[in-house]
Amino acid sequence: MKKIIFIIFIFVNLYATDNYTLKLYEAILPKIFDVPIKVYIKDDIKSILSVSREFIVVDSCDETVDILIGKHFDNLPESCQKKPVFATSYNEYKDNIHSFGAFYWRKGRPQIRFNQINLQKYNLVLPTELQKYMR
Amino acid sequence: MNCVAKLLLCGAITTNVMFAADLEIDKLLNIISSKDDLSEKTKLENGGISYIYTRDDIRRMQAHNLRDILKSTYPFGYNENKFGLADPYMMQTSAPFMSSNIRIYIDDQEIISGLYGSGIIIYGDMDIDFVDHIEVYSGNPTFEFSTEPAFTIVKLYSKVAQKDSGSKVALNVGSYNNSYLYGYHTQELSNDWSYFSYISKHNDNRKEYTNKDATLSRDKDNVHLFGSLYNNNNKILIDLIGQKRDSFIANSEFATPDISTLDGSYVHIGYNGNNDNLSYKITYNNHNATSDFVDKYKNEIQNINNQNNTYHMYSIYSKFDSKTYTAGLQYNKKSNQNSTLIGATYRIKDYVFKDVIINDNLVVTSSRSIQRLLTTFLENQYNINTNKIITTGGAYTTIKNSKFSYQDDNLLSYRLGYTYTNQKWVSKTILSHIESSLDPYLINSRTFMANPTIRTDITKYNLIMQNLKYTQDNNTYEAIVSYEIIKNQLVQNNQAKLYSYDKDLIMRSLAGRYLNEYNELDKVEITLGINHIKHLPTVETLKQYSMTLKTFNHYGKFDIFNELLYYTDDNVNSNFYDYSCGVIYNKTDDLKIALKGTNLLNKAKETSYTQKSIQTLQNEEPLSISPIDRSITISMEYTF
Repeated sequence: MKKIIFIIFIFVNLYATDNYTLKLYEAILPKIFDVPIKVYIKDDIKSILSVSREFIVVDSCDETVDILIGKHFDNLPESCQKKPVFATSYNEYKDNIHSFGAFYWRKGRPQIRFNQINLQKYNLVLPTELQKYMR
Repeated sequence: MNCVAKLLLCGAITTNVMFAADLEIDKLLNIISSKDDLSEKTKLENGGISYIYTRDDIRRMQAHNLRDILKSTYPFGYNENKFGLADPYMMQTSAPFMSSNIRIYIDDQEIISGLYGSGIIIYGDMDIDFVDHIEVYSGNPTFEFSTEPAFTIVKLYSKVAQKDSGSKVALNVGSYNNSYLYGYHTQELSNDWSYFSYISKHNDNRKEYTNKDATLSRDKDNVHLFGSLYNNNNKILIDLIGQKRDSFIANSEFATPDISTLDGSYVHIGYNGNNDNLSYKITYNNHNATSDFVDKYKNEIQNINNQNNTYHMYSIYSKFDSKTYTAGLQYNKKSNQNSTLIGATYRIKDYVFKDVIINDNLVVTSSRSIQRLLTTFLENQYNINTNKIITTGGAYTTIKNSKFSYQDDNLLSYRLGYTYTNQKWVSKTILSHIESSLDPYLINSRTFMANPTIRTDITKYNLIMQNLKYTQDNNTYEAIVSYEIIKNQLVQNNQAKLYSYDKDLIMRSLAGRYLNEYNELDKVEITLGINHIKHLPTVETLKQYSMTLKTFNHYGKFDIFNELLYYTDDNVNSNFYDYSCGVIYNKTDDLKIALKGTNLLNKAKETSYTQKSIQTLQNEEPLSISPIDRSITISMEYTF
């Protein structure tokens, strides 16, 4: 039992101190959507979000999915094509008409962005602490 | 569940809850900016002793030139030779380059000089603002990248659009009217391709020295263009460099140059790709230069030559042009316990000396040579279990020279490594044997070789090295112990010519490293090193002691960096301190203003350059000049 508890202790602490990207996602999306959030992901971030209790990561997209996270969403089923998108690249954020927000690297630093028009389109409300990222 | 288990569980939960609550989003972004590091994806886990400079390290160190990085890098540091060229293993010789066993790569493509071997001769003092991160491996790290023998590998990884999309312009100005302007643009294209383009102009003006009324200068005007086009499986690189350099002491026996210039250019065009288990590369390099040297005491040297029937050099003018073509193929097969890499590389070095005029006499009008190298290698990684790995590898190189067949060589290198890891410990044991041959510029060279027309023995390096690393919480402790025997090392005789040394050089080293990342954005790093070298040509034993101390701090909008490098040995009997510090003011996310001081105490490690008296023709007190100038730099950068 001691060993199991010790492994949990190590795991939880490694997880807590190392995975800042996961912490960021957990600090943003649960403030906009009800948890657990069902997500379809097309990005390397999939393996990171898979361990979170705040997200249910699915392998195929259907009408029950809450949001899409990632970039280059080709060949989506029709039921998924109008789902809100949280982009992981600047190009996806800029070019995808469904992207309400994004977390990406640009100009050498990580950035968060929200699109007011698309937030309104999906009736999504940003909490006060995230409104400064709205551009 | 007993009390200890309950306490641990409560502690874990509390830590996690507190952590989540404490971190605001802006702070998380800062931490991700600092910690998210591409080297996590590129570093060679079992590749010898590694030293990684992340993009955040490079940014906070304000390291704009590779010498800023190399000067504190285990095991060699930074040094410059008589020609003012980067040459960490110069061995106090008068040769233009002795560091061929340090190989340098950009994004897995080797930067090479067809004549001098390693591209360190070109890149050792180049601007590196196109670079994302740098990995340095020592101890015969891998055969995966090496077409030719490599004791140390320096890997530069260029910036990628996935992190840096957008544009940047920056201007640095500093001491000695040094100015450096660079800019880049990078973008993800609509398909899965991206590109990166970079341009820089550096008037790298350095401190000048006066010796016997002659001026010694290492100034350099450098124009650099770099571009890459890539997707997940393919990369095309283009690197163009144009240089006009003052070549310091150059060929002067008396350290009294009047004219001393080295103007040249460098071109690298390469492609590397992979398809499942197969990877391939093809590269073209061109390195050419024109050098001109006239001694300030030309007339006096002419008189000496006439009176004594000697041949002291008072002028030399020469041109060279070298082209290198490389093609390579590798196949990687992975099974449950084994990962096997087999590969072959073929390289052609086509080089020509033109219009060589020594002491006003045309010695060579045009002398073209071709060297062909074929390297085959096999490397295997055997996983005994999840935390014990045995790596074995061997490489065999055949070298054929079109013109100087007496120097055709066959080189064998091999390596055995054992890596053990657990949650806190990493242990690496390495046994390696490397053989290296003469670089093309030395073959049949009457200028640099004592016996130019006979075969020079290949140099053999035998190394055993033990690396131990222990990590607990935010502290990392590391120790490296090594024992190396070098047979047939090229050393310099009294006439400043190179010959194969008949004694074995023996080097015992002990190095320690301590890293404390005491919070997310602050850290301190200390290294200590002791080298004990036996059987040097000049002294029987030499003991070297070095230490580095680096601190990285972040306060509000300021990033602060401090670095102290200490060196002494029992030959010089004095203490050298290179203290540098810098502060970056992050005025906005896009605008940064920075100030950096380098070698502020003006006590950095000095290099000894031999010189003779023009009156007696005897050796006199050598010049002691540091490759690191005392300087202050102000810089401003803007991203958009």
